[in-house]
Amino acid sequence: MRTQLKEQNPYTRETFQALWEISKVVLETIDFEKSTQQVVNIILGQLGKLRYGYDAIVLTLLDKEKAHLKRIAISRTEKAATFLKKSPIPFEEIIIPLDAEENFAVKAIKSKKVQTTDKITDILYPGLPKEWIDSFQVFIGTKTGIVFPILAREKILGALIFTLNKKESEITNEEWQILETFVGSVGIALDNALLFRSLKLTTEKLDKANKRLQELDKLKDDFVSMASHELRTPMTAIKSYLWMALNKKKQDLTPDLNRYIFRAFHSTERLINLVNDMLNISRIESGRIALNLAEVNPVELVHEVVDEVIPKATELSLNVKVIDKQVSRVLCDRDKIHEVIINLIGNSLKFTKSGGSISITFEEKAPFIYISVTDTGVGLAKVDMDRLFKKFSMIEHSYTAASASGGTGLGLYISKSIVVLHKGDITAYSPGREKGSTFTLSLPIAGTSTALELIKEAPKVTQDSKGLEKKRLGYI
Amino acid sequence: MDKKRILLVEDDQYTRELYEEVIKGEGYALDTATNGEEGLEKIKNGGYNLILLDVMMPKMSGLEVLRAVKNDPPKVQNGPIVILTNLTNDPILNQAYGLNARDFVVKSDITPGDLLEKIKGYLEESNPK
Repeated sequence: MRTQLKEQNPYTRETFQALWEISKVVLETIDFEKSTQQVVNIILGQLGKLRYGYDAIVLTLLDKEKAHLKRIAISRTEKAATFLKKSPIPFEEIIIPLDAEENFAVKAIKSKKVQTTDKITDILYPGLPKEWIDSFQVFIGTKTGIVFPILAREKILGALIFTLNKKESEITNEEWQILETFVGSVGIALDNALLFRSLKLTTEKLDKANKRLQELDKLKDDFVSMASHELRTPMTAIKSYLWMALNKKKQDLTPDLNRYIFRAFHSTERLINLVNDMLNISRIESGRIALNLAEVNPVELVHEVVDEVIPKATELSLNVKVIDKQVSRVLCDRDKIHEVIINLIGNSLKFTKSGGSISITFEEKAPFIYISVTDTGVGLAKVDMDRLFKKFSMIEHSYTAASASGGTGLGLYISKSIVVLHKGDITAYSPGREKGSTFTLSLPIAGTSTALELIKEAPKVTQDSKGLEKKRLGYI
Repeated sequence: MDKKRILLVEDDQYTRELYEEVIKGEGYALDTATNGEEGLEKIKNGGYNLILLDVMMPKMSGLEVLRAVKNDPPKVQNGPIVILTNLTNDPILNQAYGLNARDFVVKSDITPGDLLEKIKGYLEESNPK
């Protein structure tokens, strides 16, 4: 009764065990070479246990680019070992080209159907010489060869070759079913292994490309750093000698000469600013700006900046006032935000006619403090709003004012980049041309979750990190 | 009152001669060196009220000079050493401060007038009246 059952159901306990071993390999496939060899070993080990009489199992893989079948793994059986020892060509070098139409492995792959033969030459030729195969078959006593195509997700991956010491007619239906199940599992295992390998290769390629990009980025930054140093040396000399000419104790310059030199001096200042701004942008864009975060009273910080700009504002007959308000502390890099506020107030000074006013207000709306700089200046047209924060974005009618004042067209872009690094933002608003404008800067309140995120994510000081080039106030 | 003695270590001829003119014009006694090695020799003799030191120089960089002075301080003391450079890398700046530089001034960012004001400040600070 028991024997009866066993014959009806091909899946005996041993078979289940074998399939289980294969699926373990399938699930744990991480190393291509290892897994293919493992698959073959397990299949053979398990089939050996079933005592069906297998001589050897060989795994071949399809190489589409080279259009051939390559041997990948062979079972560790006694007869396979004999084959390896006697074969005139090393195992890995036995290649079957895909145009060898009469080869059964090629046939199996092209037809996607199992091929069976009693002549091993059908399987090994032209990988090995015909005469050698024939005599080897006699020597080893193999009676049948079976080639299964290995399929996964409709794709042909290769072929699995079984050699048996019994005739084809002796293979039972049960055995066929078990073999097919095994081959199916092998397909999945191989597919996983191949996917993993291509994923690994892609990851390696990406890693390499990424490293190269980082290197290039560093080279670019180093170059910009060196170039700006080299540029600064002659610019310092030009600027300083022009300053000397302008500040001669005994004034012996004609008014015309004085004007020429004054303009040359200011243009040099502008050039130096441009070099500094480009250096800043290079640093920001390559992520080499580190933030030294601290809790800062924003009202105090604004007063600090206003104290610096008051002389210039007075010279231009502009009124700057700070509307004090009790607000929470913000988390920021004090020096860098100082520069940002200078930039915002500086812009207002540039674009407001004498007699106008600039006011700075504060608003608290968790998780941010909003600092607004409002002026009664030239204002902005709607079309200009979007362009404001882009590189070299000096808007048309601002050019005269900007060129006289040393503007580079990079200030707002840099300021916004710095504030965005702080998880805040800078926005612009204007009711229209000649109606003044408001620039609002937001910074995270210390202790809020935004501030905590900032602490976690802020670029830290490293060997590569750099500070921000400071702008001179004199020409604002 | 004795003239304050200042040492300027600067390899760029134009910059050196310009600062020389400005500093001497203000009535200070100025000594110059055209590279780090020469600068270190003079620093070792001591007696300067203020030293202005460039960074990128032939033979010996300003940082190397600072390091040598820190490791083997001169017998006759000097006033503060201020780095006067056009380099602006944070790591260099931090190194300079770590090697006892009093300040770090970017040449392209100042005018000769600013330099004189700074010099006055350093001298008053290290030698209060």
